[in-house]
Amino acid sequence: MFSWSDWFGFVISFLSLGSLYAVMALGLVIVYGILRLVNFAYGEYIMIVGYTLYLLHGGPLPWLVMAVLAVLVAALASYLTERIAFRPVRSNSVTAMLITSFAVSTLFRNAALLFISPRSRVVPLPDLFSEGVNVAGTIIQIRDVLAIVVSIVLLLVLTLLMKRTVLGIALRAAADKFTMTRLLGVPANLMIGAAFAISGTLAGVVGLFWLGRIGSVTPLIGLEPLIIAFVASVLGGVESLVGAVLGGYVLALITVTINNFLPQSFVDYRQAFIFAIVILVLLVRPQGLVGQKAEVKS
Amino acid sequence: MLKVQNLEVYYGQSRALRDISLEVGDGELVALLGVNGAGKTTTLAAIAGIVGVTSGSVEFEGRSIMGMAPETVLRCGIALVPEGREIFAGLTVRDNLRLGGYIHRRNSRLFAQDVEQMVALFPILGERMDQSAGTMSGGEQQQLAIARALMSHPKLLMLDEPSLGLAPRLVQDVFSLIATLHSQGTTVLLVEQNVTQTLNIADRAYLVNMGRIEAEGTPDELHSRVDVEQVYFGTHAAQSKQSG
Repeated sequence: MFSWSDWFGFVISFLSLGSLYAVMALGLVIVYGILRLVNFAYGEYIMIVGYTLYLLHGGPLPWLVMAVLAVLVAALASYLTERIAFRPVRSNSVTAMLITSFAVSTLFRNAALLFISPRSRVVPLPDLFSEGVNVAGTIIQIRDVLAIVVSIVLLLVLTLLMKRTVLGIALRAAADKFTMTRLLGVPANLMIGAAFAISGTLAGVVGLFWLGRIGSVTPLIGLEPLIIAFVASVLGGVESLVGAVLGGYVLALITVTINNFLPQSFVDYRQAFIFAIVILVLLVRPQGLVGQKAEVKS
Repeated sequence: MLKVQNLEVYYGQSRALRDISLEVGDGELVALLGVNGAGKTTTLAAIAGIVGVTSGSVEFEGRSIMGMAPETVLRCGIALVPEGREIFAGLTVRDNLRLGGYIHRRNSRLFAQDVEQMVALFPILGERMDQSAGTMSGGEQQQLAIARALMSHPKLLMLDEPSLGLAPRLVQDVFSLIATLHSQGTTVLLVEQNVTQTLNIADRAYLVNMGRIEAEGTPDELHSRVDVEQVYFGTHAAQSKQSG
């Protein structure tokens, strides 16, 4: 039977996975809120973190400095995709931007295929990431604890930024009424640029822990986090930052529960179970857990 | 101050504005009157930089502001209070005002002063300051929308149907508020469907129909054209008798 220490392990894996999912979804939603664009190149920022670490490997820099650099490169990549790829098509339509995001995603993946390798490359990780501590009979991975702590600090910093700074308030306002925010003098480019930079930073930090679980990077590594972020944000309600965070934790709870309680023979089909549950939730609440019901116009 | 000439605007294939020319002088309260779909809102949107202009010109203080982004138009000194108020429901009243004063954001003393001034003008906002704006009534939200626009210290304030959806008593309040702002020196371009009340406070008015200016004049001049009112505004018989 499930013992106390099993429960403890369960909670830690739920919280660590949930924190990563929450931050991932948040990075996707912060851009969606303002542009109504699902940026399908989002997963590639995680790939970029991986390859940056890989390329810096063997250099003189300590891991922490490499990690910070990698996150900055991801943030820069996100900001530059907005400047170079999205801004020129922004006035056309959301569909044009959506297709552009697929193009950017393909471009990044193929660049990795072409210039680095289609095969996986080992990402340097600190020893701490593979160590565990014994807490009352349960082995707890230190990287899981780190993922929880770093994600929660990140969420707190972001909350503070969104509530206390004028730009943060403007971003929240823009997610509600973008044109109105511009009518008050807040430049569109500033808000969108900031949203992309924040999005890239969040993807970057999550990327460190995502890669920490896998240990290596491939050109296609961004796909799974993209899908997770997408599903989590739809689950929580795409128009709400709080919803994205909640969606991340709920999706993680479903995932960890299925991993722990589903009989071994079913584990191969666990994605099907996860998505079936998500579909059921959306049947009951199509607007997501936090989203507001779309008003029916008479 | 504001000079609009031969403005033409398309929404896709359909022509929303055919030929709009109007002027607003320094310190004036000018009204745009007309039925739904006449092109009043589009005119304001074109001046504010929200919709693209096909042909014509928009000049503000002698320089062309046509084709400018909304954020740039605001910096030139034109603030728009759009139809439906468009307050940020999830933000507190204070944060709504803070965004209103966005272009003066580095001056925190000015912000504090301005907030005090807005509270003096709209006492209800003082009581609601840290409440989220969505919890306020329609009339209170309209006051917030106007206060938010004033936070940028606009030279020209454009109001799009501020009385829409308000209870009759509040409609009266809104019109006297606009009259007050005007008497304090604010230049106002007002779009309304409430003809009688608007003509009571306006210096001049334009009648807009089918994307064109149909008539222009002082309230007295326009009042004398009862036929115009009947055609465009469906004025009640009782009112026509009064004015005729």
